[in-house]
Amino acid sequence: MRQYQEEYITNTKNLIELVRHKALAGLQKSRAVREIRESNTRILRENLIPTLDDILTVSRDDIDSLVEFTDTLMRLGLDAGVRYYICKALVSYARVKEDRNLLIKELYMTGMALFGLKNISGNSNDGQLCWKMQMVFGEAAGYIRSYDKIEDAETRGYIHRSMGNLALGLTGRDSKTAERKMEVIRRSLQVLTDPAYRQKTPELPWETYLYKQHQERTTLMEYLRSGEVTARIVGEVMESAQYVYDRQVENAREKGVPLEARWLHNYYAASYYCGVYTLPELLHQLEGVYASLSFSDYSANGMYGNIYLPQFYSVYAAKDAEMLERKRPVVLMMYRRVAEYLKHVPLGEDRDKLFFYVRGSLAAYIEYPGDNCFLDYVKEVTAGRRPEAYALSCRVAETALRILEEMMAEMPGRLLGIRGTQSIQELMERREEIKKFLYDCCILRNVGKLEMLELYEVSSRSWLAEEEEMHRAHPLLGRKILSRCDSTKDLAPVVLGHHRWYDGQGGFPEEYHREEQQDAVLTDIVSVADYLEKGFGRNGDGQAEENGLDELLRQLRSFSGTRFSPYVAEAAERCFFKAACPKG
Amino acid sequence: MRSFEELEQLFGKCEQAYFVTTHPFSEDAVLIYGNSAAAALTGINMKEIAGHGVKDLGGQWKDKRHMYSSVFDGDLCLTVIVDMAEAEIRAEETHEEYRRNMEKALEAANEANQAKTKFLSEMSHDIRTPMNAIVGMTDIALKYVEDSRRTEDCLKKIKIASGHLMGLINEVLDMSRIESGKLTLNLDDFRLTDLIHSIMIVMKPQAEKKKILFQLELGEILYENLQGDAMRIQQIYINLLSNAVKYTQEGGNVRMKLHQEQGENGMVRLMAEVEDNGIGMTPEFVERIFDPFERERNTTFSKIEGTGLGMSITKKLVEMMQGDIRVVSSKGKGSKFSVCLQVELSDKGAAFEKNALAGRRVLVLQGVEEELKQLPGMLRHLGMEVDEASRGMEAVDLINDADMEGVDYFAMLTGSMLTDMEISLFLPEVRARKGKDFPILLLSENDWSEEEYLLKQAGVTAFVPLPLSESRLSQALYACTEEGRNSQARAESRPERSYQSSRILLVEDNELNMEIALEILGSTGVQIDTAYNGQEAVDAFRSKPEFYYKLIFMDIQMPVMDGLEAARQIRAMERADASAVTIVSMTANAFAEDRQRSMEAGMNAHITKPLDVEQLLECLDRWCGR
Repeated sequence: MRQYQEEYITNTKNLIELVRHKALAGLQKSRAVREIRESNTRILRENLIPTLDDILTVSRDDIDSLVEFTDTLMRLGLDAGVRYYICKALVSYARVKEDRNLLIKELYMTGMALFGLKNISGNSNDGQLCWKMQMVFGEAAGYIRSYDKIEDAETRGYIHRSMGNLALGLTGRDSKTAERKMEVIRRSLQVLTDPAYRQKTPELPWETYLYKQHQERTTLMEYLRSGEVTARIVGEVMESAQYVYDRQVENAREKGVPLEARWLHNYYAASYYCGVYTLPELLHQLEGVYASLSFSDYSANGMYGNIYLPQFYSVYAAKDAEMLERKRPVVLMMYRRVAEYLKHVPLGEDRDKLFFYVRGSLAAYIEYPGDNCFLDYVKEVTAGRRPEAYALSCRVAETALRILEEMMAEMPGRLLGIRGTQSIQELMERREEIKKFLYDCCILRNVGKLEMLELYEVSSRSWLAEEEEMHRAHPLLGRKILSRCDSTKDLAPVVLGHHRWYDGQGGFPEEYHREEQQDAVLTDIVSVADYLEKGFGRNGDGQAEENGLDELLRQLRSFSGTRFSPYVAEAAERCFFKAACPKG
Repeated sequence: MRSFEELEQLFGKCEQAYFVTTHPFSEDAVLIYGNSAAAALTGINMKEIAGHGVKDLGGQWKDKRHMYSSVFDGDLCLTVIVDMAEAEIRAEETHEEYRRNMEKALEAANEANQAKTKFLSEMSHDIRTPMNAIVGMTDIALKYVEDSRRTEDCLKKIKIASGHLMGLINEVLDMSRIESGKLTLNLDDFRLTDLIHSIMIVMKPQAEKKKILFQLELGEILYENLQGDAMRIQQIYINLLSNAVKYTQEGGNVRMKLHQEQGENGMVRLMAEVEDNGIGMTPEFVERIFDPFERERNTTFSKIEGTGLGMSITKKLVEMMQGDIRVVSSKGKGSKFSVCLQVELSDKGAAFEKNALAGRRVLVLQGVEEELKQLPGMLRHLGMEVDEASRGMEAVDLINDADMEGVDYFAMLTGSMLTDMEISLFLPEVRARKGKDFPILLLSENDWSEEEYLLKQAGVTAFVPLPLSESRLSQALYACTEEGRNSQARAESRPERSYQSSRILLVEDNELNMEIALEILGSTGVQIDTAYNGQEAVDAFRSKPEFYYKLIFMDIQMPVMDGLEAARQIRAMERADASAVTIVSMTANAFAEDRQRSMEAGMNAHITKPLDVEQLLECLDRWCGR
């Protein structure tokens, strides 16, 4: 590897350590993160980008160093974005130089980088990333036709892996996609179990490939009770579930440890979907798995059981309304424990898995009216997992409330209509309720970011175009999370619109239409409060610039009527700048 | 002697009185026959008078009457009695009618004259307006020649004004040529779908600009390869459609329906309807709509551009194509024009294309275009094997399957809009994967020229315009076969552009045109001599050794001697290269008969003005390249 590549990797590792470090907090941490990001961005700009620009004419040593660099990044699970760009360039190089082995490998690596990006994106850009994955994995897999001409075992391995990974891009929840996924896996398994291939390349880890493929097939179990699947598919999924379960039992026995919760869950779920278990039987089995876990187990298995399993449990219970009601105490108890558990997970633990499980818990939460409240849960998650960002949200909320108070005092007519108010008197009478609503909107305005925590927390350089695009999807993801439950659905439009301009001519996402919203003025307030707080330079993400007060006021005024509501901007100016910077 | 019946047959129904007597007609003459008018005149039953003398008729009936006699049947006399009083009345009546007719004719002439005067007055204004813009903008451009942005802006405005001016002049010239019987129609092969596509390209932006819903409904199309003057047919349809758009308010509808009917003697009838829900016309104006120089004015559309000749030209062109045009209109509700044109069938077939395509497998990516639903059926009809994908992701799956199963796609055909991905992002991936020679055909109703650069960059090999037709499709696919590529390469093969050893003679009397041509041709390295009229050209050719010039670019209208005469004189010279030298006429005149005259004068080819870089270079490639 080149020196810059090593330096980049070191910086990235340091940043991850820094993010996990408890001692540094607030502004100090934010500055340290920013320094690393700037350093890494410079490294890429000065070294990597010129190489990629001239990829067809650089030396073979340069190519080899790039290959090694991406291999290392992938092995360490780092930086899918940079990997994607490098691998794409290497694919171009391999095509032009007709280096078949390199082409196959880099197609596979490109696919894996895209898979990494897909995971980071919180599925916000699924379509785009999935079809690209299918293209590169598919092309690499197509070399199965030239298998005998390719002597290199490693390259043959990439062909098999690509064939198997074709299933990764098939994420649609429709039966057509499920059928397709079955077909792809079936074809891959056919090759993996063909003795001829094993004989040709005995050095490949055939059993691992086979295991991964069966594992992937078990993800199809949720389609099994849709009524559209054939007995063949049901049988195949059950076969895979049994295969994975057997291997896990064997593995656990060898290591002398209990069987992991996820494998038990998968096996029981497959048994249910295939018709072996009834719903009560499945729930009973899952209760057993859950009960066997330690509440203070922060390993991957512990996190799975304590955070993820309760979500599955509630989803299964919800398949039958009566069952959901019967299991109310169990579900509520599990949720309380999840919230508590999240407060205690040490920051440095396996963050990838934690993010993944948290995301799952948000997507599947079920509210029992009067008993539990998704709003409280999601606030707790935000506070527990993103304390710096939560603190910023609290400040944004305080700022927003000051603006609201100012408007209530000076221009109450502008607020008429929010939360369905029909008179100034009603507005004043419901003042506290409205303030609470606005406060929650501010706290949860960035809830969509929970779906993409890796993007915000451990990105060690400036964002790539694809990542910027992901970021712009966070209001949409926020709306999706909040729209599901009664306690949060009213917050969804405000959260959706807090980055969209007042005049509709800028910002994001385009899906927000101010004129259609009852609480548009509250969105305007959140938008200004968010901007001001970032301007004060206390952004927990470490991505924003610090601005002087004068500059902030200038910007506030210049955006009045375009980005910001002129009334909200006026109220904000009176609240925060009146004494220091008289107008004019 | 003739019988009474015979005489009755001859004169019985005549209004004037006829007598047949012995010769000559006098008091002594014997009466042989008198017709019923004679009986009425004299009060005597003529059946009874035969054998009586003329004097027996009495004399009163002769008052105010003239008698005209002539020899009849050799020795008899035929006498006609003319009532002067009645004749005078009749003469007066005739005169009055004549006078009335004359007055009407005069009135009509005056009206026509007034219309022409009005037309000339308006035309002068219409011509002066863009001319003023051209002159004014040219002055500004010259004044600020160093300021490239300003110059560019002026040139753009000049281009717009020139286009408008050219349109006006073309219409006036068309009408003039039609009226003098000089307009002839070309008989060229054309594809109906190409013609429709061209119309759509012109009309869609016009309609979109006014937010008008423009719909094309294709009925039964029996034959796609036709023969006729496609340019004039297009002119007819575009005239009707432009008017429909022009006279329809924003948000309205304009619809064109087109179908074919089998005609006689190998002809096919093109039946078109252009319907709008615009302002419509008064019945009075409908009567006059096809008269030259007429245009209706009203308060809503007070500023109407055009000469008022469009509909008149349209009708004349329709008549020249043995067709018929009708209009129904209702004021405030809209108008509907129905046009029937007769065109011939082209004998060009696509059988060889079909043979070359049969058995090949293609991937069809449907896209959102409704029209593409017919595509798989057409491809199968061409004998091709088709894999269909309704979404981009399905296409990816099919490509992957094909690769793994050893199936080679001959080509991919795709719509321009997909439901699940952006086509311009997807196609580069397909191109990269399938290699540079894999044909990717994009089917779209959009103007290809606008998107060509970007889409070719994205990997598109060729463009198939919609509406879809089997022959157009087979032609496009055939061009992607090895056979098709070879024949295309043969057709398009250009010798290497190396003209240094070639000499050409450029004959042009206009300084600016000469300058443009020199600018274009000069960059190729070809050696150029110039002549400013036909005589100079003839002299230059004569004075040079044989085969000195490979090519002569010849303007047609020039002082001293025109291009046609110059070509004739060059061809008539007694020297080895007189018939061999290539002479290419250059003129803005695009009329078929004038092209014919050029050919008759000995020209080899014709290029149109304003001179176009590609046209000139193509000539060099063809006749001077090595």
